[in-house]
Amino acid sequence: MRGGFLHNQVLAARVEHAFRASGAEVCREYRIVTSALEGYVDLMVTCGGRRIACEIELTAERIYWDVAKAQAMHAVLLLIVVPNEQLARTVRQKLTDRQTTRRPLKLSVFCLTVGAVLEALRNKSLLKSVLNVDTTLIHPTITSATTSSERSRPCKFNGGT
Amino acid sequence: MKSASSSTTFDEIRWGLNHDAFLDRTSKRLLRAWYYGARDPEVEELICGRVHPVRVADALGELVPFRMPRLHAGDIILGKDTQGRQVLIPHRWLGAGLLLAANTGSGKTNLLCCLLLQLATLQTRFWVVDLYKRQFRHLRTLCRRVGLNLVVLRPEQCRVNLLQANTADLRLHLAMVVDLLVRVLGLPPRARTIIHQGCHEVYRRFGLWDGHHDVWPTLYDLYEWVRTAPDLNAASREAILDRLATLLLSLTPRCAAYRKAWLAADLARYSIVFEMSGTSELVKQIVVEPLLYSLFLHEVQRGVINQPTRLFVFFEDGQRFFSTTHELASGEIAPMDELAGIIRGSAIGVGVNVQSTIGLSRRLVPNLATKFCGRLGSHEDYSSVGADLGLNSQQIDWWRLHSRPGMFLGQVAEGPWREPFLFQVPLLDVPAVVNDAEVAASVAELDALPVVPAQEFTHWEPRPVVEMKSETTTLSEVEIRFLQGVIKQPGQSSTYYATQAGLNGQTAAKVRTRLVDLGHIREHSVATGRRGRMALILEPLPSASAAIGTTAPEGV
Repeated sequence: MRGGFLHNQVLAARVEHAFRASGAEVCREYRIVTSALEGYVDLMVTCGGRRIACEIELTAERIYWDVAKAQAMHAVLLLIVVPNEQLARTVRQKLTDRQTTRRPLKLSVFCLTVGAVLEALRNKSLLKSVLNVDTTLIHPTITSATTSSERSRPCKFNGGT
Repeated sequence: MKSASSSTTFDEIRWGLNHDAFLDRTSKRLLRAWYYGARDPEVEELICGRVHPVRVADALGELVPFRMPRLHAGDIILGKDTQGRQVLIPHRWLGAGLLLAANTGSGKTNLLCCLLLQLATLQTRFWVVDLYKRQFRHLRTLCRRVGLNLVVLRPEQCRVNLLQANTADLRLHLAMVVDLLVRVLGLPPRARTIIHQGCHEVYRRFGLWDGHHDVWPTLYDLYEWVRTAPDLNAASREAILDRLATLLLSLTPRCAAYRKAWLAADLARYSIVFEMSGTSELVKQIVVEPLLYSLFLHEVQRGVINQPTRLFVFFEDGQRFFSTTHELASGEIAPMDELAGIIRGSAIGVGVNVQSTIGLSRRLVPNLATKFCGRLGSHEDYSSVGADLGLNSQQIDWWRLHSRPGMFLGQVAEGPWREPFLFQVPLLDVPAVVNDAEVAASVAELDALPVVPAQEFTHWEPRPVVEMKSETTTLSEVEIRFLQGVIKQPGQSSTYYATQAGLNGQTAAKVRTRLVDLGHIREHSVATGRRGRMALILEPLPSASAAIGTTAPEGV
């Protein structure tokens, strides 16, 4: 994993361990290759046949790139894990700004601190949200997620589950 | 004149004797005749005639309330009494200690010059410590006329080594050195132990404990030992280094970097003026005190006890040098006070020249038994000196009103005459002809004394403090335990490691801060919980493994 101690051994390792403890499958450094982009997702979580893209971020600079990767891998949920609440607010604000200027996102995006993620995974609330997302999808592809019902639903950028 | 009765004549004689009315030869013969029974009216009239003018002078307030000194034998002329007769004392009486107190412009330096020139004529050695002025250098020309080469020594021309002992008892010398350094540098108590330990260690390195006395360690060696020795108390080490560096910079390597320097016993063969003007008080004490102590210890070791004085040491303007501020806080007697008392027995006489007795150590005065007092400037001075000399109130009042430059009130320590007496010192005309070049040339006589310079310290400079701090990176047992926990399980919160190491929060915070400062760990603030304060996650850095001598775990 391309990151330092905080990125790999503190944040990613804890989130990975929590996902595994919840019964999900986790793949580190999941490679995405499409005609439009090529990159790696820090953690690709498979839960109930649905994909969750999990990105560990220490700054807010690569947020749009993370969204693009999550969309490319047909994830139903993008989980951005940050070390502190201040950065989480910055990320949420950035995503909100994008939402007002561009097309609405076709996936749910959660930006949480690592503590919040671990708590959410402990009480399964995050995974339930994933299931909620899943029930709205006709097909587990990015194309199928562009149904009218889904498009009309505002994209979810919140700090909790 | 009407003849007096026998009883009246006896009273006249007694009064006249107490007021020096019968000093001339005729008066003495008259008294002798009266004692032998020749009590005829003619003799009694002549006796009363001798007393009468003195009575008149007394009635008019013109009588000097001091007895004429019976000091007419000796090799030193102090001056003339009020009747113009010479006052002489043997020069060895000065060895009992001399206190010369007089305010500025009253002629005390002139008196000291008179004494020194007469000592030079007698070929008696003397040292003059001229603490502020450069006046005594001009005696060199006059001393040369009587065959004495007076050496004028500036501090930078000295070749001193405080650690070089002039006695076979090295421990005794070290006790003096440690005491002097701690006192002069104002070091804390723990530093005394370190200095003592350092001196022993540098002595061991030079084989002095094994009897090799060819070369000696210097204060620069001591400085380097303190700087590099491990496991010394950090605060004490810094205190020593800071103050010792200041001292060594003041002394300069040219003066103090000698493996073999001048010995006090060798210098005692010369008459020397130590010109200390423009030098710090620190250097004055470091140069002068060890010389006197070494000389004293050397003489004691030679078995010289109560011998005639062979060296006189005079301190010109010693007000500050002997002031009470140098007395120890614990109430112990100050070393110079002690030295002034005990050094007489080792054939060394000490004289102190002050402008006022205010602030002068009271422990010093009893050991300066011969006292000369000139014009003073304050009531406290008159009272203090008057009490020391045993003056009554009438004498003090007279001296207060009649003292003038060149006139002194004296009391000698030895001999049968202990009454205070007046004497007038002639004004010396000492031409100011000795310049700096001649002063430098005068030191050439000391070139014959063997010296071995310490070449490695010729260009010595103190190390920066930052470098000294780098030496103290050794981790304590608690820090190692904490660091081992971080290396073993990286990425945990600081609280976790504190629990693992068995430390309370305050201690753990100090340990953590120090490890961060040393570059062994890095802190990350991470919100590991949904609410509350963020946790400090610790990351071991590559230097951490090296610090505790283990292999870094994977990923560190």
